[in-house]
Amino acid sequence: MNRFLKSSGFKLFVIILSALIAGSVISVVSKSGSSPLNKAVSVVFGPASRLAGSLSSGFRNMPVSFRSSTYYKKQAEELKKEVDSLREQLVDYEDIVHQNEFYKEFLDLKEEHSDYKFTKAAIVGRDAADRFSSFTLSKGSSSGIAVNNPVIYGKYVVGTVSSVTPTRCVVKTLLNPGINVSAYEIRTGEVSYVTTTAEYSKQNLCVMPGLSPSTAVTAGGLVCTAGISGIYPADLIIGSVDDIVDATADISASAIIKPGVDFSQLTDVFIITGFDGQAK
Amino acid sequence: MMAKRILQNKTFIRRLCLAAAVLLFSILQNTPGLFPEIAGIRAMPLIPLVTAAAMYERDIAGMLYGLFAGALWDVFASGNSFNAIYFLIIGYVCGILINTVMRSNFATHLLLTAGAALIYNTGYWLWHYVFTGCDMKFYSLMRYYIPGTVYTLILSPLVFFLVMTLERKLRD
Repeated sequence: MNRFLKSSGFKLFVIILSALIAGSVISVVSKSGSSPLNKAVSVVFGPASRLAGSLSSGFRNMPVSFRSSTYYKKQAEELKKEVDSLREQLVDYEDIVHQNEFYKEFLDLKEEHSDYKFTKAAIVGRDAADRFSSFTLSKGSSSGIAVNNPVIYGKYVVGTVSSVTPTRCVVKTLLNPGINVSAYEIRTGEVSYVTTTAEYSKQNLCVMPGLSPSTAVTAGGLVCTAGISGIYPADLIIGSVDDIVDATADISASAIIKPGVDFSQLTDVFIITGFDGQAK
Repeated sequence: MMAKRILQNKTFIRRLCLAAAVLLFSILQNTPGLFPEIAGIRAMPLIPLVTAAAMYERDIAGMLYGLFAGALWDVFASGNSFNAIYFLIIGYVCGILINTVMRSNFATHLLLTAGAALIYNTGYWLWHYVFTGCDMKFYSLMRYYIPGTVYTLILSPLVFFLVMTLERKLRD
């Protein structure tokens, strides 16, 4: 045992472990949510994950094609090639339409709120162990992104930045039970907050608890950010009311909210790095 | 001359290949759409890779591979250095166990991977569900994390034979 404790391997193990724990403490103190090692690794290996992200979206966009085999006649092959070419054109067209829609919504928001500062980022990864739709973006603190910056898609809220390195940041979406957003229903003006539970998260839903028992909020109502905490600007769309249910613990009612965007389909998002009234 | 000597050193090439495998597996595992999910269940091929590398390369190299794998995983995760610390320990412990009480073969790899995957998944579940007071704790454990451990185990023979082939071909 004594020999084991004095071995160079054990000493190295203890030194590295201590350094990692110290790094974690530094990240908590600095409120960046990422340790110095994490920052260094993300800078060095960032391009590799960006390349993988591009490959992944390339695979998803690839048209399904059945190439020629020995029994295909020449004419059939030529037709196939033509179909493939048209499919590729269609994919390119759909990409352009998607990009146009993305930028159009962004432009509307930009025109309405000139105080917003934006950064566009692509989704390049996700934690294999996470079940709440968190994802990693291709931009970090070198692009002005900080922890708690809101992440949006068009006028819709996606989530907040939870940790940041110089070239990467991790986003927790509205489907994470740890996220709370102050919110109001636009027709009735009832103010509460939007969060979720593991059960609702599984169904891609959020919940707005603490409504009065006789709430006038009904299914189909639109829920927006109230901007109370200073993390999210006011009036971004969270989603629509799917149902009203009674709370299990008290007499209040809760609205079940369907987020405005399908987080699993996102490929690009915008991060709001600054706005009037942002909490410092 | 120096570069030529380094490139002829099989140990260097082997360790470089293992590091490249760690990088590749990390990207495959954490990039959406690159690795198949089965009914929402995700595999963690980095776990069998680190245990296999530690079994063949022993404690010091094993912990360094673990540190590398964990640090890469942390880039995609929101939890400080949780993965780096976890994989550092796994790499070191696997190397020490093979040095002292276990033989390096497929059965021990399966055993070590099962233990490592189970510890990772239950640890993650405890940290993110139990300690945070999240609902549906046991559902999530049984629906995602235990099947995730099984899925990882199913992949482990493939990973083990990949590392074994690399080690046999590039052993001095």
